[in-house]
Amino acid sequence: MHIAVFGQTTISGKLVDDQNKPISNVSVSYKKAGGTVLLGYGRSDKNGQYSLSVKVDAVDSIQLDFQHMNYAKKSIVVANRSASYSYQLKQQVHQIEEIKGLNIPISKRKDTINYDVNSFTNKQDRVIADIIKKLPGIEMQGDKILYQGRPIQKYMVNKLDLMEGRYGIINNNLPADAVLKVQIIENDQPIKILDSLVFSDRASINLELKRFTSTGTGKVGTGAGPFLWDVNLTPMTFGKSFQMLNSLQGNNTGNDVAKDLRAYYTGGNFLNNNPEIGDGPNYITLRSVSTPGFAQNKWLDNQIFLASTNVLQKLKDGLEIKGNGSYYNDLRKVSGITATEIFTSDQTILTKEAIDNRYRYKVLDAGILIEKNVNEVYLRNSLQFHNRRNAEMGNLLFNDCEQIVQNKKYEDRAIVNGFSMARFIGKQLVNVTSTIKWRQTPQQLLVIPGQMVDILNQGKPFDQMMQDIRYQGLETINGLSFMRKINYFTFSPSLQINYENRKLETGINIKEQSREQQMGEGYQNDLMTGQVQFSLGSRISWMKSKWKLSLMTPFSFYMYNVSQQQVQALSREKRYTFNPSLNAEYKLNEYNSLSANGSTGKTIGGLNNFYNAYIIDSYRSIQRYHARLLENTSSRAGLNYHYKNIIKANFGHMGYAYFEGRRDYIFRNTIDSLGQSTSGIEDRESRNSNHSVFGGIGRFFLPIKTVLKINVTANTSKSDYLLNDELAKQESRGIGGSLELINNLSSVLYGEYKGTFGHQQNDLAGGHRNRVNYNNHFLNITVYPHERHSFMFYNSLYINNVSSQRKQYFLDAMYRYRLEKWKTDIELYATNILNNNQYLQQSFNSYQLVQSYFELRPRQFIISTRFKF
Amino acid sequence: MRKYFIILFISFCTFIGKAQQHYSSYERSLILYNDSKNKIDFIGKIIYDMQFHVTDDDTSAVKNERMELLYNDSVSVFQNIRKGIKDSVLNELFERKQKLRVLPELGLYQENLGLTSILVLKNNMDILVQDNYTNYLENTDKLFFYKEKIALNWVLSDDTIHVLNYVCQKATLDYGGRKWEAWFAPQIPISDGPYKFSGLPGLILKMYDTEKSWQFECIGIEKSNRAVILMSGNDQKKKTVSKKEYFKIRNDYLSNQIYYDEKNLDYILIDNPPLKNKQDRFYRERNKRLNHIEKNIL
Repeated sequence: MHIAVFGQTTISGKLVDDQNKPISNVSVSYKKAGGTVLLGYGRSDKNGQYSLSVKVDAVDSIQLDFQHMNYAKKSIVVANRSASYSYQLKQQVHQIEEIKGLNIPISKRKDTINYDVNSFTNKQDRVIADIIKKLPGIEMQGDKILYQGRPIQKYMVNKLDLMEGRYGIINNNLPADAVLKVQIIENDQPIKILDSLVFSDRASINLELKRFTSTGTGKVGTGAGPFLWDVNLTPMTFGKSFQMLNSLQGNNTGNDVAKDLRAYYTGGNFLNNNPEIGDGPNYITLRSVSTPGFAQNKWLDNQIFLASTNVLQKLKDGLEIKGNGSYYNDLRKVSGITATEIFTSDQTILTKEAIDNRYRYKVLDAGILIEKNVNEVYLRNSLQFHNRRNAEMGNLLFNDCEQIVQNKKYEDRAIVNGFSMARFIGKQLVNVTSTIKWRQTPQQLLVIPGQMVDILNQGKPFDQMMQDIRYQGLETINGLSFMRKINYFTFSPSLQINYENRKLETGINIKEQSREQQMGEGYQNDLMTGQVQFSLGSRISWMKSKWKLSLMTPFSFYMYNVSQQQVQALSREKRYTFNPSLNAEYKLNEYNSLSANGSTGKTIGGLNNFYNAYIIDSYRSIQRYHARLLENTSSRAGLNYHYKNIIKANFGHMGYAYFEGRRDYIFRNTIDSLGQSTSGIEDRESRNSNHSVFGGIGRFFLPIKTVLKINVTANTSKSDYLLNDELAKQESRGIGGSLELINNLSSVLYGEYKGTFGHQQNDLAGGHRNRVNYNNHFLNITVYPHERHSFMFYNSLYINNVSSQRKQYFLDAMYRYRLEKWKTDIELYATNILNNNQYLQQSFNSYQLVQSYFELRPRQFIISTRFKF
Repeated sequence: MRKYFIILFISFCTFIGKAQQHYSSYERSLILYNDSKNKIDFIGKIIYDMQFHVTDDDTSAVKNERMELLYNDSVSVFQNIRKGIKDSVLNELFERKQKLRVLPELGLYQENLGLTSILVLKNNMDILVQDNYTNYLENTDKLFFYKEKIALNWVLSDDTIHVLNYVCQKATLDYGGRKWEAWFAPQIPISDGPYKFSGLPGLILKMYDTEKSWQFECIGIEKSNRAVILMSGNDQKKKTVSKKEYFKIRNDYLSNQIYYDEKNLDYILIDNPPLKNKQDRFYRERNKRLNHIEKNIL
């Protein structure tokens, strides 16, 4: 028998409308009088009858609520006791408040995250970079795009990659309103033949345009303080199978447009054989002053002219042909003062250098690429040509007394061809790659008057010294690899044969009382190095539902031949290396994933430092090495955690990385009381290690249209150094981070704040300790009092711990007038309104603290018109 | 040369024949649908984001689908928002007496039609489910109805949260082999919710099973004067089966999909027995793992 513990009451009744007709389907609920939660509910039947069993104890009165869509809500408070209550309900259509939260600006379909460009666009956004940098989950370091803390693997427009990594030029010139959506394709495997074989954990970006179109932006401006000019014409065409981008740019306003030519990826993944052409080895440097770590247009004194052309044609059978050519001519001036404190164990050396340099760069690049990327075959051949001519000239005042002239010439010519082909033979994927690199890099440094008199002229002063260097290198890399998938495993053994040959000829010429003299033995290098590498490796990966594991075991055999001054220094010297690495990834659920990686192994180096005769590498430093092969042994480990919730637009990542290195040598530096240095290599074991933890979150607050991004990094490291024959250890600890807030809510006011901070502490031998602190704040505010007018204020505040100049505040402002009819903006831009003329910063390395004063651009005004094609 | 031409011609004809077969099936379905007797007018719609795991065992494969709950004062329809869009386009064409065209010509590509073609019509406690489990266009051959009368035993609890600025109270339920948690807004006098869930004294704004393998979250509430046209009474009757029978038919189809599809000319595989076997195995295997919202039917 069931015994009721609670007093049970039944409340019933009938509900009718104003014509006394019964109302069915009225929801009847009850709660404690004055309470919020419903305790029970019922519903009226077709006769309008309802009945509620009320099960609530120790309550005198309860509230009954009668609700129906077509009638006014009725609430009554009654005694908690069985009774009957009948009511007439008043007809009234219930208005339900509309909530149009429908356009969630981020959506996900399979591995593709779509960002709706309109929802992130603000009135002042002109080009697509303005949008991309605001998207949660995306980070921009300068022009480089990162997704979840890692650089993107591909940048495409309508799924075609026109620029091959040089995407800055599209990003900075493609009008935002031509783009329908920005897509992030996670786990994108750009090589179709690998799609089912090799899992990719990298992300690509694709811009889906509203239509196939010709578009682009242009800008023409002029200004004063001194005479300024700024021109940018960048038309582009995006068709179904044809894409083209041309750009003509020039300015002397401090905008280094050559950075648009930088490639942020070279497709250096699996099968992709697109070696970076890079720059040749640089043996000499012109002494300069370190550049400020902030917006370049505040300090760069330049005159640049740049032309670039890029075309892509996709043929019917899937073959893509891409061609590009670019040239720029840049003249830069740098002036400032560097004060250096060098801490040796027994003394502190102070030097001061006032610097006034001019650089002229002329750089030509051209390339042609043929690619076929279809399901059955992958073919890629890229041919690149690079030519650079630098002429650099510097006037330096040393310790306020000695005037020194430095003059550097540098040329670099290179041709690189990379070939890669893959196709299936049976179930086996076979890949053949071959790269050939040739390069010639002559360079020269002239210093007046001669320095390092002890080494070069028996302690006697002399008029000038000149270092001549001729470098030539040839390298070929040839590989054959196989790949096969068996259930959850992918096996890929590979074989590589590489050959590298380098030739280095150097000589020093000194002039004393108009008598020139070529210095002899010990000052001349005639070095030939040859290296053959034979590698056998395998990669095994295993992938099942939530797990991904991969193990790589490359084994290499090296053989070296070196002749110096026609003397065979190494003859068929053999070395082995084995560098295994392991990666594991575990996906906890749709939001969270964990990954770990580890590697260990050895690298053989030293061929670059094989010269045993002196080379002057700057006006105050000279080097030669005790020639031998150098061994580096290192181990790395890392842990990463990623979080992402697309619907809520929350992103987060954190990780830890560890590095430990052991070398069988150490660089020996000797510094004299004038700060002039001699370096070499000593046979002494040395170690270095580093721990770092990092993390970041990104969040989009939809109701207030605000994006929040926070990033933090902390690291601690230890390393050995050898200075003036004293072996010592330096320990450094640092923490840094940034916070970014971007608000889009108001239509008349737009705000963007970024704060960065950092603290670095360095402990050296002899109890020396250096501390560098900084915190920088950037606040950009835009006000639109009217549709056509807008005012922008760019505030930046740099705070550091240098006693003489703790705070530096810069203010820039811009007024923009919109000519809607012409789709043109007229801009008046004032930079450095407070006319700060110097910037001070400090930095340190293993044994020196450097403070530099940098001459900034003065206050200037530019008026320009910006338009869209 | 002539010989090749003839072969080409013949294959062209069969191609057309195939195409027409589909074409007429559209037409048929549209005519069936456009019986104004079975037209239901609505006054508003609730939009839900439905998120679910594709298979039981892999919680990393997640799909999102946007669903709508159309309501008036007595009846509601829960369906894929894209299906709603497609139906409106076709109805509009029908009303203007325009020539019917194949869906892709209207911009309605298969991939835009969504993954879920279920339609749940709720009339108080009476539920009518229309489902086309193939998702393959609007093939009426695989369109079935079943009726269900359910009394959901909701248990109220004291927990409350805010969803879309409404205070929502928690209610739990055992249904379809899963434990469900629902959050309803007593302030909104619509006793309804996603899928077959209804009967609470307020609208369900958020709901999920305890394994979170099916989740619904309201993302919008809008006015709407849309109409839904159901298949006419007689034709509907012919297509109506019991709930158990429906799931049997579906299971049978999903396990033998390759043969059914071939029979209906939806999907032709070149005469390659090993490949066919492989595909067949794949379907069977997948069907075993598919994450159905109601677990314990068969």
